[in-house]
Amino acid sequence: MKIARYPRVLHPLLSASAMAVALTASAPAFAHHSFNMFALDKVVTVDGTIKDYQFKMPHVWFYVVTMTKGGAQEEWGFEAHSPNLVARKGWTVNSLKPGDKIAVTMHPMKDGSKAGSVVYVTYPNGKVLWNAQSLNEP
Amino acid sequence: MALALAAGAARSAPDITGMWQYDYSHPPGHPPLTPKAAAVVALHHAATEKGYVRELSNMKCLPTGMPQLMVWRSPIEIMESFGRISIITEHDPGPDEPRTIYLNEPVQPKDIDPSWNGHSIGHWDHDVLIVDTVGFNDRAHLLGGVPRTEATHITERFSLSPDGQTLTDEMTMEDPQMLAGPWTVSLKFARMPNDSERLEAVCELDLDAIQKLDIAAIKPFDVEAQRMSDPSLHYNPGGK
Repeated sequence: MKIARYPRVLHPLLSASAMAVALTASAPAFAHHSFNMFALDKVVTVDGTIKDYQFKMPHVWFYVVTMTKGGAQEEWGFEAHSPNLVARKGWTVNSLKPGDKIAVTMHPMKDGSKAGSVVYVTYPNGKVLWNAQSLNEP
Repeated sequence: MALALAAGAARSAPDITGMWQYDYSHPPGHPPLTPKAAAVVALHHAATEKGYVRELSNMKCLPTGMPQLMVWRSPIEIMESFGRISIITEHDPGPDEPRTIYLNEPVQPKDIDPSWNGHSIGHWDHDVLIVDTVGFNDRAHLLGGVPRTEATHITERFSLSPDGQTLTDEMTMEDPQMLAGPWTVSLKFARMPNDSERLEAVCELDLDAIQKLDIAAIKPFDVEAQRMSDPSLHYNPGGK
């Protein structure tokens, strides 16, 4: 499944030098794992409905049901930082609940599987919850 | 009178206690590696490109140790009590033991049992806290993924900005086996509000990931994989 099927917001690809900075920056401070499995040079937004939200160690995960152009349902998994880190960015144990409509801006998996590293989550009312440090820093 | 002077001197030291957030957006640069260290780092990088994104020590929830415990995305908390400064962390993986910096030991003790955080002694030189740490085990890393050895020696100079809002840890790492020369980095910490909460970040043993791991493949550069291959180094070997 190509990520390009969800091009609602596609930020310009980062320059090679910006990528190098991002990867170097993550190296000394990576937490549970490195971010090498994610395409940090790609930022993609998908819309969908929350199926499950797990605010727990070692990483916050939530699962989103999306609709393809053909009308088929797909389930995506999204990873955020650990609860103690995202709590300082406004996340709580109740930030997302099944049925919530949200948009997830994320770095997709390099291998094309339906998962991504969250940059930020956008609510229908425009409220934004950041997970990443910036668009080019996980 | 002497006692009063001593107490006065103690009070004049900058107050570095509190919650501090490491500025991880500014990585510390590149270490001068020995050929031996460069080979290990290269193996590690190659494996990362093939999907090795977590170390065995991480899956086992082992500490990260000094100096890595200083550079997480999560805060550190510096506390001071009689004769010592303690630094506690809040991160996954872990749990890291608190760091203790002994202020009343002028020289390093003999016969130090190698440990994750080493043995730290410190003193105030005017407004700078100078800390000397030795006695490390060989199961953790310096910064930048460089393996640590029992010969690692770290000195730190902690200083506070005039406004009290930035703490600088000028850290010099030495290790004749891994570093071609002293490697000095400048770590910056931003003061967090006094009422900042310290949150839990508990690491849980990941048996599933360990079972799927190809121990032989990572053994050349993963010290915990090497230990798993040596029964004498297993956890509690005498009890089995």
